[in-house]
Amino acid sequence: MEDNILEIINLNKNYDKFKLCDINITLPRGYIMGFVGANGAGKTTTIKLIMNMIRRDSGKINVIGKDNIKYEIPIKNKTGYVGEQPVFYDDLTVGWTANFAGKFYSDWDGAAFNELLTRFGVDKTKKIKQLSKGMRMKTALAIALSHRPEFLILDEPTSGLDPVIRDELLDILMEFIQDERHGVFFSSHITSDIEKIADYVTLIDNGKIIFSEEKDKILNDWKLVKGDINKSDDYRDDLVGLKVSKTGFSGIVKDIDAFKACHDMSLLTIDKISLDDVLLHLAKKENQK
Amino acid sequence: MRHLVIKDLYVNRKYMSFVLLFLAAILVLKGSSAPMVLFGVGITSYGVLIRSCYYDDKDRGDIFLRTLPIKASTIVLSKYILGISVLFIVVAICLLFAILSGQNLDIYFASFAFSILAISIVYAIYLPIFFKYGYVKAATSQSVLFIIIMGASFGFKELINITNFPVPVNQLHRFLTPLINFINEISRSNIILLLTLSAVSLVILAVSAKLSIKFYDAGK
Repeated sequence: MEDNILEIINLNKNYDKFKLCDINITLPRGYIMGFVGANGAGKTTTIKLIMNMIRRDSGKINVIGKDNIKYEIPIKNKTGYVGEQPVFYDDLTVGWTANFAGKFYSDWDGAAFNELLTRFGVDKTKKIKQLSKGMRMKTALAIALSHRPEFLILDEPTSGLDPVIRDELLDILMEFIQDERHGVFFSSHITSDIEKIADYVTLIDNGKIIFSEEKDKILNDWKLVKGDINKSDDYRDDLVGLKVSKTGFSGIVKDIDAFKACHDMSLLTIDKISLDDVLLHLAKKENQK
Repeated sequence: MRHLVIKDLYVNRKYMSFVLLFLAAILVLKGSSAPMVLFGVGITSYGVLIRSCYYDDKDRGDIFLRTLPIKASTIVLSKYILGISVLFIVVAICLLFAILSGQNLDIYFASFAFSILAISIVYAIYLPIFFKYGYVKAATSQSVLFIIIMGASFGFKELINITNFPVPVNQLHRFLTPLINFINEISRSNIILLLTLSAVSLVILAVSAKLSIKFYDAGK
């Protein structure tokens, strides 16, 4: 069995007004990767490329150890996908839709699907058009989980959902990943969700990968530095994504020891960093380039 | 493939039921006739296909299908199979009424032959445009095609007269003669006509399907 459930190597895709540049991502089995970035950063495009819903211009994508174009059908057979706005035929019922989708999977488990629907509180006799956004998401997740997938790909699944449903969804992902052969690739711009469950975090901005590392390493290595507004110019070169407000400035730094060695720290405060801080400051840095 | 066709039939169940009931009502009230065959085959099969494409577009069903383990060629071919299946259903219904009412079936074979060819040509043009440009543009192109056909059939002669069409009519006749002779030849038996035009329809649909698969793949 391949160690990596997802490998993206030098992936490129060009559109008229947007391009993905040399995307490299590796996700080992048994882990959840959060794919973070602002709206329009390239998350959905990357996911569509992984699912072979759009054609890549160059590069390579291996899913479950196999090329995603050459082995598209066996890969999709072992991959569960949930899009940002799950799409089905409006006039069909939940049960009919699942029954239809199940015909194409070799390992479809109807009993598991019914169990999940009961757990999620989704009525299988309801038509898709009668479902709320949260219910549609749960239906999509139930379908994605009922064919015994090894790999789950979720594109902004928590966007627009209320906190209770979001939390439920994160719990399900945590359950799924208990099997160490599984993997989850989960895009979101809600960093708190990623921070809660992800083992790896990949940040994408304007079609480029800013970093792709273990979450704990990111949160340990990077520090948030804050100081008085009048002194902000002294630190402009050494702080990443310097933000100046009426009350002061903030920036992030990866090697805090090297930073301390160069600056008088008595006027500064060092805080633990959140993924939101990293996202905001690194994205700001990219925009300043 | 089978499941995709069943899905399209199921999505169109209300329309199918309505049109088939309407068809049955006319067949019962007015009796089976050759024009009815043309009407029934045309309105039902074309309607079901167009509506299944409409639902794919409206509900973004195409995106849903692309996430499932289904080959692109299967998705494309299922639309052709859907069209042909509905064609067979309607032909079978019309034939059944003709048998029950004790009519001469031979006349029906000619009607079937030309309606199958006509519908196949419409599918063969519509589906590649649908897979390349989507429902709206395909529907527009069908309307344009319809206007052109109507315009051509009503105004062709007038156009020749008005513009002093440079190609002499006898030259056009010479060009069309082998085709007319061929149709005359195969028309001697309506069953042979039906088989020949069905084979021609299949060839046209096969070429169109190949084009549609190419467009669908490129559309990624």
